[in-house]
Amino acid sequence: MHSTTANISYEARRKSIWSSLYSFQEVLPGLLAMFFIAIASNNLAGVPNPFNLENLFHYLDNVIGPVNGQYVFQIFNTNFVWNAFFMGLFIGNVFGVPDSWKRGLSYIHKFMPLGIVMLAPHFIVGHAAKAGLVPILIVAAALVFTASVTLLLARFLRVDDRHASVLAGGLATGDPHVCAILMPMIKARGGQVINAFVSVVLFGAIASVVLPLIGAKVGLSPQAFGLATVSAVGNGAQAFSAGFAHSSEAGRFSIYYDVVRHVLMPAGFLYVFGVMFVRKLMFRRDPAVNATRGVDSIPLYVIVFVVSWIVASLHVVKEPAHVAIFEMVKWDFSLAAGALGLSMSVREIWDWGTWRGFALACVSGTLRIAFVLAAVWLCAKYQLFNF
Amino acid sequence: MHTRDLISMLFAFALAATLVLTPAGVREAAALEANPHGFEPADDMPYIPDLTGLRHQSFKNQYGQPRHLSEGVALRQSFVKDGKATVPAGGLYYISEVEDEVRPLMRDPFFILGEHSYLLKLKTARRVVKDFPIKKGEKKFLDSDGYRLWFDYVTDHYQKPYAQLALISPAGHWPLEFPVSTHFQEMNEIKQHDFPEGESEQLWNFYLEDTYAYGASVFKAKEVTFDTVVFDSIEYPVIEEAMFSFSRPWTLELRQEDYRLYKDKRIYAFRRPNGFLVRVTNLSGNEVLAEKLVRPSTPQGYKDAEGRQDEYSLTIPEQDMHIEIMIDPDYLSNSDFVPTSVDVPYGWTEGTLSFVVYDDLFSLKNGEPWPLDDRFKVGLEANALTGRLQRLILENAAPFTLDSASGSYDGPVKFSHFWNRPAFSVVAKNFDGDKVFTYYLRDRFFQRTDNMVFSADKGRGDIDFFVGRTPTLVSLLEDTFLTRLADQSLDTVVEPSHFTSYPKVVSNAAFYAPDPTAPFVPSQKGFTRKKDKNRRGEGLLSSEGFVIRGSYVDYDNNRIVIPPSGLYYTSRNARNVRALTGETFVFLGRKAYLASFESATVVRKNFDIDYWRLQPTGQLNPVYWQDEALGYNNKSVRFTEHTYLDDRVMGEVNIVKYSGNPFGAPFHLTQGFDPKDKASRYSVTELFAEGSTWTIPAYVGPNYIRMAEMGTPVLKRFFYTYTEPTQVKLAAGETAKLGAYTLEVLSADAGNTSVSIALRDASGAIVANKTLGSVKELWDVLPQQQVAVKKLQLMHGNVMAEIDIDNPVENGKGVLWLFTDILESEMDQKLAWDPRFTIRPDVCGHCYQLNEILLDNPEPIILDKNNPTYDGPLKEDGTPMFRIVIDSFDGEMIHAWHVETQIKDKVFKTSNLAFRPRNNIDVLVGANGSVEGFLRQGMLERMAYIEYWRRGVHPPLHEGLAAREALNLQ
Amino acid sequence: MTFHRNAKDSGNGWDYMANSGIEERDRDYVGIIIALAIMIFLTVTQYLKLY
Repeated sequence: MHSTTANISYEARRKSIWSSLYSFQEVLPGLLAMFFIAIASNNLAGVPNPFNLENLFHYLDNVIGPVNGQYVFQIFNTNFVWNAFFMGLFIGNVFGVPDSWKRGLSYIHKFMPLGIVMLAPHFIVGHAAKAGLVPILIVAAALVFTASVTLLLARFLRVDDRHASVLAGGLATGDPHVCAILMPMIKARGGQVINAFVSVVLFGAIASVVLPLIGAKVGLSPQAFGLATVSAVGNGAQAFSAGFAHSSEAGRFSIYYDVVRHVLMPAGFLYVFGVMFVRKLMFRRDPAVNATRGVDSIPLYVIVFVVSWIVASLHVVKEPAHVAIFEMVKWDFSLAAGALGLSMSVREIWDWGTWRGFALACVSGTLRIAFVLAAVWLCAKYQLFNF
Repeated sequence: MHTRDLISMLFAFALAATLVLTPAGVREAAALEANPHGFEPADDMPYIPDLTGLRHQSFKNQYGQPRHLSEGVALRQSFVKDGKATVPAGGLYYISEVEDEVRPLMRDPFFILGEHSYLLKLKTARRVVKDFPIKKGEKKFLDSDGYRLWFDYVTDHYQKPYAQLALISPAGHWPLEFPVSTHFQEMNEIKQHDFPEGESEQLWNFYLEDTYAYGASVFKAKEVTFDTVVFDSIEYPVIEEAMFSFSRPWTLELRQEDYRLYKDKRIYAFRRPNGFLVRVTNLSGNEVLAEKLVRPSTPQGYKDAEGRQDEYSLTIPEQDMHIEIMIDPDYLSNSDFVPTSVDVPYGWTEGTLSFVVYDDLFSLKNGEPWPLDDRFKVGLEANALTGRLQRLILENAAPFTLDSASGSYDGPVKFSHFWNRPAFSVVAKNFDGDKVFTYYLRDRFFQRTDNMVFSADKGRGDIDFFVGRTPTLVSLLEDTFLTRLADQSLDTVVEPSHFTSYPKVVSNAAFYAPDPTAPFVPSQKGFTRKKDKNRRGEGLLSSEGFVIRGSYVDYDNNRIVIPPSGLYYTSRNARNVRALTGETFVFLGRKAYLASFESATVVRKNFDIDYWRLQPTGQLNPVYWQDEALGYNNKSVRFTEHTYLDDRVMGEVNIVKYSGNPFGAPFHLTQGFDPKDKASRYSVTELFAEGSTWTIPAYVGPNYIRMAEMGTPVLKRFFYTYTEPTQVKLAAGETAKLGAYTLEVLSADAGNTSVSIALRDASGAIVANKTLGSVKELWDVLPQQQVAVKKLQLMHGNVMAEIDIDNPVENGKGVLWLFTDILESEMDQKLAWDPRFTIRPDVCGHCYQLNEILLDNPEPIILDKNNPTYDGPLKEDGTPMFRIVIDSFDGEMIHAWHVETQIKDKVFKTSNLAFRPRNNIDVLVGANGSVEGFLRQGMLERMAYIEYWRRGVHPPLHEGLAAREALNLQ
Repeated sequence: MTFHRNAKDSGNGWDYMANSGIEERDRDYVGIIIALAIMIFLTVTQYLKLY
């Protein structure tokens, strides 16, 4: 039945916006597939299933033992998005995806805007206030610098602009999640997103080892170094690992300043989207401009996200509600990532230039490290901040 | 296993040989031969709270009573030498511990090397040690099992000693410190007094007995001096044998005069007048395998007594069977989930009789090798109060070494339903001379702890550690916890708050403890912590601090609220401040000399105290209406815990001080146990009196206690001066200046040890005169009795003369101490120069002396955007003692705040006390007795959080029952 | 049941990763509506002291 309806165009069967939910019968198999992938991947609110990938990784973390106090799989950025993605990727590549699942799996296109909008209360800008103005400026400047440099360098390294955009977002914000968030905005391909993600995580891992070595030479105070890790490495556990490798005080300040990077994260992906969107408007006819092609106006969910972000920053959503909303985000992205994983063949990840993305991450990441260290060093030297 | 054993023995011999031959090894050889029982790991040993293979969970027994079980692994008395780590016999040990006790016939759960088991049988005994002398500071062996007695310290009243001691089990656990003395009145004598309700004068007697009866343990002293205690007898319970089952039991409804099938056997039950004749046969019923009269087991406490346990079960070891008959409502069969502890306490209105058949039986004998691995020795330890099983210890029987070649030592082999394997292993590597740089513990699932050498460049000279959350840790840390918590190498530890929609709110924080996660700032410039000496040369440590308690974020109004009494300044000495000996204390940064004091006794009669199911101190719930007041703003009485001794309720009553700290150890109250009754297995006194605080219960029940009478001291006012008192020696007729007056000695009587004095004003008229003394006659109640104290002092206006009690008359001259500029502080009075604060002097519950000075806020303190700072109490010069500064607060979360003090032009700030976001500004600043008391209450949790803080990761979420508890208590 | 390699390889050519036109707009709207509904529900119920 589903194959019959699938051949009828959406426009033909559309009655209202709710038509995009399709019929219950059509979507059930796919939704169930996503559901089971999600609960086999993560600890999700309401489902006390201990046998999942998240717990397996945590077990392996404990077998390996901590590195600089941090868990190894966290350093390699396993989280609720990527656990479900890997589970989907595994199932899709080993067993394939039956047609009957596909209607349900197409819910990914509802889950992505849904999840992005619900992320808004996670970024309460006021939480950064405790860091003081100068650290906020350093983090913001590093963000814009990295994103811009990455987008510019992409042309020299002949990286596809969609690929470069998601990479720029992930690298600049220091959070590979952003690669996934940017996916629908940029209209990036799944393979590009994963390639960018892997590049960001790998470079982050390298940076978290290298930065403490450089940091020791530069002679920053632990507090200043903690700030530097947040901006120059990012990515939670990777930054903390770099911080704790320097000293325990630096590690604690990594955690302290991490909130600044965290709450500014939306600015990072909105910046990348904005730049690419304007660029597309300027070079409409250029066949090399792929990013945001097909996005005719600023998508409504981006606007809703920005409004929600502003509302959340006015402290409308109090703490337990924020936790509850974030639990829903976890559910949402776990389901979506499962579908994304199923959609992709492993080969596709390398289709967009096996090492080109990684090379781009390395070059712009290195420039960022230099930029951040210089900025922090100057601030410390001219006592712009009491490090 | 045997090969391994042989190897480790060879190692031991080889090591012993080397040590004997090398003179450098003498110290180590001594350590190797020393018995580590009752000793703690190194003072700076790493503590790791969680390792998955070591469980920490709560279960319920068949009657629905919760048992809190936990496991741990500890290593003590090890040392690293020449690239080799050596652990003496008994140095490495596994502990399985239950918070209170497990008993037979209850299906009580117990962990054995990670495996859930049930205790079935227990063979206990009472060990008696006669004529036992011990010196102060000693930890002396009582027996060959490794029990030690610890003589912690001695203090005095009326210049006579009373000693504080503790019985330490081989694992290092001790339940409490108990006081004994042979110089004071028996507590029963308190009954002879007839006190009116309300306030009366200070007691002349001091109540403390030569015998401390603690349930199954009794300590009877023969002689107590300042240096030694000689015990007449010490009795304590030991466990000789215990039998467990590793499987959930089979429960079969009993069929009278007929059989049930169990595996390939029949179990018959024939009704007899006093139970059931249980007969086990083979499948066909031809062969009788065992037969016995078994009485149904119900939860009466006496049934597990020596010699009675056997009536309630049939054990057939050769068939791996243990049968009990249980009466239960059938919905309860096998249930861990139905909490009946709040329901019908005993027996069931409607029930069924069931066979409960256990298999996978496992017997352990104290001191014998562990059955699965004879490298380890079994230790069974009893709860000193109830005599039932509390701890299982498995310790290495022979010394072992770890070095680069063999860097791993397996723990005992565990029982498993699938695969018997070592329960854990200790791994050490990267040796360099006398240092080791890596060591950790791996559990049976191959998960490991972090490297326990925390300072990678310095290394460690031993491989001591403690991993797990067993309550024994609290005892092991007794000597070092304050130093550990005060350690600033990781800066001020700040535990993030758990944010909820409903902040805990109390209208008045008096008698409350601060949030157990409140950050602790051990020292801050401007707060004194100084040692001073009294006239007798005794050192007194004075220490100031302040506490914020009960504060919360009122997120509806974007503000932080500190309730009345939520902020208090505290000044306290290491012990109470006594008159007549020139003792000093610190008051708002200034050294003050105590002149005199006025105390009284508060008595309350015939009142009820409710049992607190949830307690604000330690257990976080702001339930408050159960508090019973003992005097206005003086003490609060709380019934916090209860247990059963042979079905009699033993209630634990805490007297809580205004500061929120408990006064001494809790009072144990139970009725019907006469310590002189030899037939009873428990001894507990019916009333309780310690020093000058006493309770006489009329009825002790599980839900409330009816008090016939209760009394405790209260301090009404105290007199002090900032001017150092001076000593004068005057013969009859000689004079000295005393403030605006002239002091004249009229006579000095060396024989009677008294001095007559007169005080003249400027015109020469006598304004006061008095004979101070006789010291000799009053000697037996000095220096604590205030009537006696007053007889030795002459106070007039703001001056005072006091006779020197140690040397009243010298060469015919009266020896006097002169106090001028005396100030008076009265309880509940506003601070003269800063009416925002009220003075609450706290009294010593033993001795009526000044114990602590508190200054607290009578009005709530509000901190918000417009008022982000608050000044603490002003010093007399008008500058604040400290200032609270909120740096970053978003209306819901506090992201940054600190305390600052100013000395001249320099401002000293604490670290950010909301380094991780907090929902209150509760804090402990300074390190005196009050702060220490709060730290002690949440010691294990605090110590555990430090490890996560050190690593910069979140503690794991609680699971199962523990999660529910954690949630309830947040 | 037939399994296919990825989103596109299906027998009927329906690519569930394709997202454009009216269908994309509808999907976005549905996502936004559900997201706002969840957030508003959780926030309002907290304001009404339901948790």
